[in-house]
Parts: sequence; structure tokens; C-alpha cells
Amino acid sequence: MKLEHPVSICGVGTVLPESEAQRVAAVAGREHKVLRVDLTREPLAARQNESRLRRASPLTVFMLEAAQQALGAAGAVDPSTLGVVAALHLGTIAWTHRFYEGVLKSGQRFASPNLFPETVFNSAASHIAAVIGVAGPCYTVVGDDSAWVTAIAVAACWLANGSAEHVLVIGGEEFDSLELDAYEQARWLRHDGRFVPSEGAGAVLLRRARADDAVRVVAVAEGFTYRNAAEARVAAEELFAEFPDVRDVCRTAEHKWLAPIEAQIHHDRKLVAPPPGPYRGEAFTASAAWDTIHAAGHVRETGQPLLLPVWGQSEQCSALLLAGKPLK
Amino acid sequence: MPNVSIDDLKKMLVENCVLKVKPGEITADAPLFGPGSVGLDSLDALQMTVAIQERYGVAIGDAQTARDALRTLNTLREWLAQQPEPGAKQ
Amino acid sequence: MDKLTPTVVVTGRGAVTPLGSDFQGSWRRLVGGEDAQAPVTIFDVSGCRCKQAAEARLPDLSGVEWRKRRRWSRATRLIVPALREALDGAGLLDAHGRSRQARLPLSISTTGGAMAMGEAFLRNLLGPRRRPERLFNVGRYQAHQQVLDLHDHFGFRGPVMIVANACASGANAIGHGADLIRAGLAEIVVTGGYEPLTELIYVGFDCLQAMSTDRCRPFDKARSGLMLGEAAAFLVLESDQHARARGADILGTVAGYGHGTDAHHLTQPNPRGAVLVNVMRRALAQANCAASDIGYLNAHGTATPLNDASECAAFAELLGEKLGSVRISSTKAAMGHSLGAAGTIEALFALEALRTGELPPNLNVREPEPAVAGNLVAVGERATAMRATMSVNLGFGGSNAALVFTRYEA
Repeated sequence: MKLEHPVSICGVGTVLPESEAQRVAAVAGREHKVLRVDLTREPLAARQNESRLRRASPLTVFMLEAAQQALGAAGAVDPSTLGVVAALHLGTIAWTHRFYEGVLKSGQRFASPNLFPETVFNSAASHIAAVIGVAGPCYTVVGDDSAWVTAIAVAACWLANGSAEHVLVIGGEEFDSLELDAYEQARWLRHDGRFVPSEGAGAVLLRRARADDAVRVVAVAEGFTYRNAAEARVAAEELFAEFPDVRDVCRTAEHKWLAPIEAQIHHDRKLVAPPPGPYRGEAFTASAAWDTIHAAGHVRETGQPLLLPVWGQSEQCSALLLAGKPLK
Repeated sequence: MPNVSIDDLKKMLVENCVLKVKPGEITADAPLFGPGSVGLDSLDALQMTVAIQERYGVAIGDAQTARDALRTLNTLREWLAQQPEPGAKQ
Repeated sequence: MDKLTPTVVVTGRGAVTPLGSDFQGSWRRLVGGEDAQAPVTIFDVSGCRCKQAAEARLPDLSGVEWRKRRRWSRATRLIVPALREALDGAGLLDAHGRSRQARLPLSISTTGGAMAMGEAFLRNLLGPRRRPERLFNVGRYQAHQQVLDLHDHFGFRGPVMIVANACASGANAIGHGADLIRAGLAEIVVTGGYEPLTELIYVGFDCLQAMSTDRCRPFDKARSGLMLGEAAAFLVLESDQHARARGADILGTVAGYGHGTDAHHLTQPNPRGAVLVNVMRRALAQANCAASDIGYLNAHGTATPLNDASECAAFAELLGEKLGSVRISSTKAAMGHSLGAAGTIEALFALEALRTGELPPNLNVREPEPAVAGNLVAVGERATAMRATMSVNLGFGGSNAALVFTRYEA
């Protein structure tokens, strides 16, 4: 849907995993390649010293750092009119696993009071709002990779109705070995190296677009859901039918089970894809954020509109249409 | 339970409350709560109560007892010393 | 609100709660003063301090084809009957129980999704004998899988927002649906919330000593904590033009929504309820109502010492000397705290109070907090000619939300 009030990306932030993969064992399954964030590196090491983050899981640290980068890039932003939308897939899976494994191994009476509140989906957004001093609205939306696009749509709604003057949209994922058992079962890890679980965060700071902004989100398409490959093909056709005249389209599904569907769409519609960024693994909403930031960089350089599909791996495909300032 | 080691309590505190200091950096008479303290809150108090029960097999029965016993690591060790020895887990 | 902004109306509602397998059944038992506290049966709680909760009885789903039904989580088994009631009441289902509209936006809330499936997965992995055939269901614990279940069952697709803002989520989901309609981004939005009881969440609240081992006594001086419950509830929201054009029954108006974040502490509210006051004021301003127009207020009222104290402070600050004119209750004593569904079902109670004049009571109070002693609703109370009602919710992470309901005037 075309945004009646487009939004601009006025700041970005990323927390990326190390480029070299580690081999990590599943809880009860095999070893697989995984891309991890190094929490001992600055500035993440310093972020963990935030007193509010003392008991928080790595997800919160990643997302706070990405958020602070995006704010820093934008200059002065009034926190009293700043909103936050966090987009999550597995959320605080590492702490959830620890909490419940503790219950199973030590018994219900020894469940950890310090861990449990941090397992709630909105704990990360809550900590970020507290540290930054956010007084505007704050939602945590959940789903697959496409929750990122939903989060952008929510932010656009708030900017349009005046609930906020700026909105931080943050996607984040933390890795836990338990995921590997689940991905083995889902058969996403069959071709070792194609789908690489990852972690990190990405953030964009949005405000209402002005005519000469370098990168604007001008349309959002959501709600093309599926449960299997056949339904995904249909959903993808419906999604792309929303943008019949757009030829410049990012390719982002290469490492996912949706790769053949994306390839077919690109072939049939003769789409042109800009060069992709380096592969940072599958971190769901964080990956969608990184793809958005990469696409925004391309739009800034070329001034041409670019469609960014987000191929959700278990729910839906969505898309953002980015437009730029025509180059002189 | 007279032989609870203060070093064990320091380690328990740092691990359970995720403190960003080494156990050796905590002094046994540093206040755990309130102004000028190590900076624990009520969630930490609950956590320490659970950890003490799991480790030593003794229950801190009520909130007032918890507040008194958990003033410092020294007071905690003294309180534990007064408790009878159940079948404590090591 | 200017003349061009659509009015957001409610055209359908449905619920499955510990008090009943549909909304009216739940409402009748609620206003009759019944409560659903009982021993937990769904999972083992032998290691917990508390042993009680408000469990729902799952409605009969034998009409659903068994191959589909057997894959459904407890969450989906709560959602489907509640959503069917709402869509049917709104005239949106055909004779086969399928949606008349191919695309319907959905704004839905939960805290744990179908967490029991995730628990089973980990238990299986750590157990002595792994059962591979049981493992593949793990993905179904995720909240979007319940959305796919209901899409599949009712035959519609569309944009989905799943909000997980802890205990205020239900109000946020309704408020977001209302925001979309007011902004002209949708003419109709299905809003809802759901939460099945699960061991992980139950044990979590238990280890925080947040649950009462006695009874849930909201706003009682000797209150000692909450009772967990489970529920699914839905409201169909539309612009009034859209509703009138298709001849839908209009139950009332979502006149105002306010939301914000309390940064005081991850699990504890600001003692003065300062953020809640602002959130209530924003909802009232959007509804073009004064605080004194509120005839009935459904409080969050979890019966924890800190929550209720914070709400008392907020109500006193908002209403001042007009506090005496508002009837207040927390329905959590009757049906428990259903987390991601709490804001939804309590919004429905506030709306029904406005429609019928019947007021849900605040159960189990022996000695009320002085601040609200004159306000708490007794069993059998009625109100006349209320201009508006309000529902408020607060959650872990500091999410605060308020909704104002008024009658629809064409």
C-alpha cells in the first residue's frame, strides 16, 4: 500500500556478527556453522555495563547498540516525542532456554527470578526505552523475518497520526543452540553452509519524509502468508502484482528455502537486482534490517526507486518500496 | 551451618545477580541494597533466596528475614551459621 | 477528532474464558459474582508455591476435521471458537463458517504464543528418550503459527500485527486497529488477544512470588498477589461508514486510546502511576470526554501490592474529587490474569457494562484500600446512563494503555 505520508530513514545502526563462522553443537543434534556477535568487542562490551542491562540477555545489548548508532547518526532527537518499535522473531531465546532448562533440571522451586522477567518479549524494548529516555509509544511486534516490515508500517502509522515525531525501528536476534535442533527438524540446515544461523541487530530512525530527503519509504506491502512452498509461490505472485511497474528489486532469499521461488519471480518478470551486501547469515528481523540499510545505501547513490522484498521463512513475504532524491 | 565460606557467597552473589565485577572485588561488609550499595533490587533478593535454598537447603522464610539476612555478605554468613544443617547440596 | 476522521465502532465480539465458552456465558457468570479459581490441572505444579489458576474449559471442536485439529495447540483451540463468535456476530462468516472477505487485517496480541509446544520440544531434547516424531511441531509454538491456523480455518489472509507488550498487549492490539481505521488505512480490522496457561509462564510468576497462595483480592489492603488465567477474545472494529453500509450491528465505539511506557523498572510500576495518568488523559482527550464522564472503570487490578497501589494513585490524580463518582472493578479476581488476552477481554467487559448498565464486581475484598473504598463494585450493581467506560492495563516492561468506550450515535 502506498504510504499517504512517506517516511524517511534519517539514521541507521547495525550490530553484525563476526565474518568467520563458528561450529556450534545443537542441544541434542549435530554441529553446524553459526555466525556470532563478539560481545567482548567495543562498543558492545561497554554497553553491557549499562546498569539497566545488568540481567538482560545479549539481544537487548545488540538492539540498544544499533538504536544508539541510529540516533547518533541523526543528530538531536527529542526523546519525549520518540517512539520505538522492536521487531522480533525468537526474542530472548537464550534466556528462555536457560530459564526452562533450569526448571527441568533443578525443579520448579528453584526457577530463577532474575531470568524470568528478561524472557518476556518486550524486555529489550523496555530496557532501550529506559536507557534512552523514550516517552513516546513503544511496541514489540513478533513474527518471522517479515515482522520487520510490520514494524515499519506501525512506525509509519504513528508518524502519520502524530503519536511520535521520530520512531526507532529495531530488528534483533540472539543465537541459542536450541535453534539448531529446531532448524534441523525444519530441514533448513540440510545443505550445510547455505542457511547459516546468525545474530545481531539493525535499526533505522524514521521521521515524516520531506521532499528532498535522500531515502524515503513510499510503500509497504504485507500480509501474503503461507505455510508451504505451493502457498508461498501464490503469495509471492500476489506480492509482486502490487508493484507491476517496478523493475529494480533486491534479491534476499538466496540462502533460504524460498530461493527457487525468488529466482523464478526474477526470471519471469525480468527484474534487475543490485549487487547484494556480504552474507551475514540468517538473523530474521535483524537480517531484514541489514537488507533495508543496504538497499537504502543503493537508493542514496542512484536516486532510483528500489523494491526490497522480505522473504519470511515461516509466515509471509512482505516488501518495502524505497525511493530516493533524483540525482542532478 | 558454621562453615559457609565468604568466598563461596561472593561467587554466588556475582553469578546469580550478574554483577560486572569479580567476586574478589566485593567486600564482605558492603551493603547489598540501598544507597551506596552493590546495587541489588527486589528481584535480586528473590534470586538470592532461591540460590541459598538450592545450595544450602535452607529457606529464608519471609521478606523481613530476607532484608535482615541479606544486608551484607557477612550478615548472610552469620544468618546461615545459625541455621540447622539440613541435607545441603554441594 | 475532526469530522473527516472515521469513528471506530465495534461490530462483533467473541471470547473463551475460564468463566464460559462464549462471551455471553462468561459475562453472565462474571456479573453473577462467580469466580473460576481452581487447582491447576493442565500441567504439574507440585514444585510451585501456588497450585491454583483459572483454567478455561476448551469448547467442543468436534466439528473440525481431526487431521487439522490434532495439530492445533491449546492456544489455537481457544482462539478458533472466540474468533468464530466474533466474526459470526459481525456477519462476516458464510454458511460454512468461512470468511466472506478474502482479506481481513488482523491486530492480535499474546505473551507466550503456544509456549507449551516449545516446552515439550526442550523436554523431549533433554529427556532420556528423544521422540523424533514429536520434534517437528516445535515451530508451532510461535505466535504467527496461531495466526496461520486461524487464516487457514476461516479462509482469509491479510496484514497481521502481533504485538507482545506483556499485560497491556490486548489493549495495544485494539488501539492499533483503531489507529489504522482512524488514519484511513483500513475500513475493518479484526483485533484480539489470546493466552493459554503454560508451565513456563506459571513457574515464572510463581518464582517471583507474584501469585497469591490465598485468593486474588484486587484493591484489598491485605492483597497478596495475582491469579493467572487463560482466555482468547476478539473484537471486530470498523469505520462507522463501512459498518452502516453493510448493515452491521454496532455495539459501541472505541472512542479513545492512549498508550505509553513506564521506565521505572522492568517488573514494577511507577508508584505514583504517572505514566498511567498521562495515558488515561490521552485516551479521554481523543474520546472528547472528561474524566468525570467515566461511569465504570475496569482496572488492571492484578492484586499485587505494587500494581494496585500505583493504580490507586493514578485514579486519584486523574479524577481528584470526582473519584467518588466512578465505579471501579478488577475482573481478574473472577477470571484470573490472562496476560496477552487480559486487555482484550477487559475491554469487552467495559463495553458490555456501557451497553447493559450491569457492572462486573470486584470480588474477594474484605478491607478495601481507603483510596478506592467507595468505588469498588459489589455483586448485582447496576449503573444508569453512563456516558463512557474505560479499561486500563499495565504490563511488565512498563507498557501502559487505556481505552475509552462510548455509545455510537449516528
